Amino acid sequence: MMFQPFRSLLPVFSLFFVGQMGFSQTSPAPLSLRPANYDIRVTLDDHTKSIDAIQIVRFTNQSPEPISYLRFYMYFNAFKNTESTFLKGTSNIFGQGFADRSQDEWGWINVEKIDCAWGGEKADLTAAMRYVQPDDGNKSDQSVLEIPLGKALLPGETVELQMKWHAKVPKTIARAGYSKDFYLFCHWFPQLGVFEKNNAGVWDWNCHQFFRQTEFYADFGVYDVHITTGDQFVMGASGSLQSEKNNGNGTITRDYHVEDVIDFAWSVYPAFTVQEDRWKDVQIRLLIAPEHANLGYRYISALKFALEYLDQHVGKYPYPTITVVDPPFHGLRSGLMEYPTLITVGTFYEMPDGIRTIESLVVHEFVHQYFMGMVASNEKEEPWLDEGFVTYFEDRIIDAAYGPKHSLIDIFGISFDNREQTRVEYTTMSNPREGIVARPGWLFSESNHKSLIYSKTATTLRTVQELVGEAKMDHIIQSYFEQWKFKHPRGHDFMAVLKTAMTLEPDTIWGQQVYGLFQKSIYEAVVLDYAVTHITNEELFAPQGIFGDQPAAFVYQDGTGPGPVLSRVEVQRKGEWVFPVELLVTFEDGSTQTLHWSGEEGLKVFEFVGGPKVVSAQIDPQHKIGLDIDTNNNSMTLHPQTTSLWKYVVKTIFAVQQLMQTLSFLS
Amino acid sequence: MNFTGAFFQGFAVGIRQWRITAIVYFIQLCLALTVGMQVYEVMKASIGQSLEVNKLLDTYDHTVWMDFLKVHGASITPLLGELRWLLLVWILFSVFIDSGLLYAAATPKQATARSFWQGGAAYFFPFLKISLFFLILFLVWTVVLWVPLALFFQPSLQYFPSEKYTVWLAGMAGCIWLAGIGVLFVWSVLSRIHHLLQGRSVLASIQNGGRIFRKSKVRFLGILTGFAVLQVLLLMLYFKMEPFSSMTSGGILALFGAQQGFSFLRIQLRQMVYGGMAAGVGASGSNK
Repeated sequence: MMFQPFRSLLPVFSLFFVGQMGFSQTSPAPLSLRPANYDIRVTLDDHTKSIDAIQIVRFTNQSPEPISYLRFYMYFNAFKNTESTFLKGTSNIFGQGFADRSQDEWGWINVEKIDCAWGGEKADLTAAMRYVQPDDGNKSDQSVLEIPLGKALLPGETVELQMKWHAKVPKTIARAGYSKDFYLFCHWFPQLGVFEKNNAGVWDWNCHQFFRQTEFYADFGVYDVHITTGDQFVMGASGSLQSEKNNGNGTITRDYHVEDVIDFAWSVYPAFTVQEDRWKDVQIRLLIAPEHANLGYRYISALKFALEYLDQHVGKYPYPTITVVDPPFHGLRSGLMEYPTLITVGTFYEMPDGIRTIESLVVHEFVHQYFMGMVASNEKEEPWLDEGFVTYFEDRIIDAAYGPKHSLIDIFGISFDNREQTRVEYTTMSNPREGIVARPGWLFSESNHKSLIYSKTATTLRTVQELVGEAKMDHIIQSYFEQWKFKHPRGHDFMAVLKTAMTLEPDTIWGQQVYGLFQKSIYEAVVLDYAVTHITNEELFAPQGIFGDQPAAFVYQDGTGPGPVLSRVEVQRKGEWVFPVELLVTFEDGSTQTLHWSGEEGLKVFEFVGGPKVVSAQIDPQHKIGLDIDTNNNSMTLHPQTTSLWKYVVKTIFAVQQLMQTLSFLS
Repeated sequence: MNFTGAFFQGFAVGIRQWRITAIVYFIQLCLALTVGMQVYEVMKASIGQSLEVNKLLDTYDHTVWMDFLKVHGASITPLLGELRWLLLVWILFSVFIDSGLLYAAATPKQATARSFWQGGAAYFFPFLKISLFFLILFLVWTVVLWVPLALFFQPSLQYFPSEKYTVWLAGMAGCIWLAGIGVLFVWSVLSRIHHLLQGRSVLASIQNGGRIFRKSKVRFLGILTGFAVLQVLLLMLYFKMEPFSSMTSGGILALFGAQQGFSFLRIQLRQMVYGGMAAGVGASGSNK
């Protein structure tokens, strides 16, 4: 046994050790349990594209089980060679080929020494560390490092590791790395996984290897990061800049501090233009490529709107800063990603105002501060819990900021909003039944992961909102946020919140149905499609024969004159997903009738006798159910307005004429 | 004759030969109608009875269109195939039409429909040869300019410190390409006019067309640019006006009227270009 337990001295020792390592505790009250804390001193060598670091990790076992080993993400090693789990079996990552990379463009990380301090003793654990492959057994994969402690770390105990490591920065891949003199450092240091109860109820490390289509999952803590770079670099990082010191040798050291976050990222680029603003107590810092600087106000105004919106509808943004990194276009592969208090975005030179991808991207990445950043669900195992929720709020925020029907695209006469785009990303999938949403990220393909994880989930949440109302939906989300912020919820935790909320609905059956809709959408691969298929109005014969009770009072009717009208409306459920719907029937006198159909039958005919003729029928007349994959067949009218069709006919004729006229120049 | 004179001469020719323009316009409209009416039938049969269609009246509706394309996209595919063939036939046919237009442009008096058809028939084959020659040059020019650039564009985004250089490069390449197309077009028209006026062989006409162009390139490119600018202004005017057309039956009729007016004017401008070139050729002494 290497160490003797000194549990009674642990608090004193920890305080001493923490003070030595410079962990500053500036918050009056921690927002999270802070089991994993880091103090990192890192130096970037721009010439060799490498970093050297000494990091101190302080980990507290907050589980009821003893822990005998630690597991660290070593994700730079995913970019070490083509045999890593991340790169194996593909020659292309997000459209980027890597087969022709030079030796200098691969990345890796190597821990050179590990000293462990625990219970007043020190030990060298370097020889004991080893790479493990808990997911696929690929021995070539070095993205997870296991460090046996030699003895059990008991509940409540804290261990401190001092790790000396060196990393070669890859040419940008999966956001991380360099592109010319632009750098983004994400998943760049040995980072602890999460020690938690797994789905089988066993306490274990949740520390997956790096797979494509997956992101990050780590535990909360305090980060003090001291970064030394060449003094030509402009820097942005998670947290707040505490101090800055010019070392006089062409380098500069900046000290950053951030609390209650699950990760730390930073970026440097000599050409960054810095634009700053504030929202309440939050400092907004935009680091933007100079050629995009004239677009900076768009990022900032959208971000401030999002801060305000989320503050009102979800909860408080508790951090003092938010840093936005807009990389140069050659480094765009570092863009569009979320890290705590630092997000990366991306745009193109002179992006027109009518294309609001700038706004939607910055809002999307910022919402991640809530879903993933604070409500720290597992982005790898249950990506729908962050990406789906984030896309849902992205839709809400962008549509609220820029107006429905043209919030996302409004150019050359074509306009649509974020919500519409999200919905069609799901409904226009080649096969919406491709798989369930609630799966680990690595089980999705490149073609379906966005449609299902982001878009279907967001459309499902939107459908629930339309069914229960925005206020109720806000209440559900706020309950979930308050209950699970600075924790690690799983899908069933959100389902429990939703179930509780829906149980409180006055109409409990309706509440169960809405809950069932959400559950079916996320946990089953079924399709919802309702259609109005026929409307007929048939004039029946006028009554003919003898009518009356007493022969003396018999009345003969000869069957002449108008008979009553029998109207039929045929509706069908074309998908296998059963959900009760409303049917609005409009009659020729302008009156309407709203009916309810359980949807249990595949086909149902509604009949109306003796009244005015039916002229139209519409399922889901208020368009609440965005999950319906074809809304055009939801309604039918006997008096179609062909004017709009003619509009497109004349446009088609005109387009063909112009095409012909232009082609004439070839003759 | 200087540029201004040739330019206004082209105007005069265009106005004088409006009947010929009308014939070409009518042929073009008939062909476009075959596609347009099929679009109507497809839309009517697929979503024509849906209440959602009403949303298309005022503006583009992403949801309606995307749901339509997802469910009924297959019914559009044959139309696109048909359009491809139609355009191919049109290119061939427009050689005939161009023959008629040029014949009319080179005629000092008002051409009749009969003379348009006669001109088209008489000069179809020589003009077809000239067209093929310039089509090959057009393709060569396009390939020579764009293929290396296309190969360079993707790496250039990584190579340059900013994508703005790639944008500028693409814009510059586009301008150079257009200028080259302009030169080829003028040369092609001059060759045909020369053939029409002199009755020389196709090869000799192409050579003389080039010679005439070199002699007065500013004048001819000026004529082309002048009328091209007019087309662009017309197009801008159309797009400015289009959103104001109210989407009632009357509004759509008005939109159709404006579109057809624009289409007619485009052909008219083409006729004017030919007229201006013909006047310029006369002034260049091609008869010598």
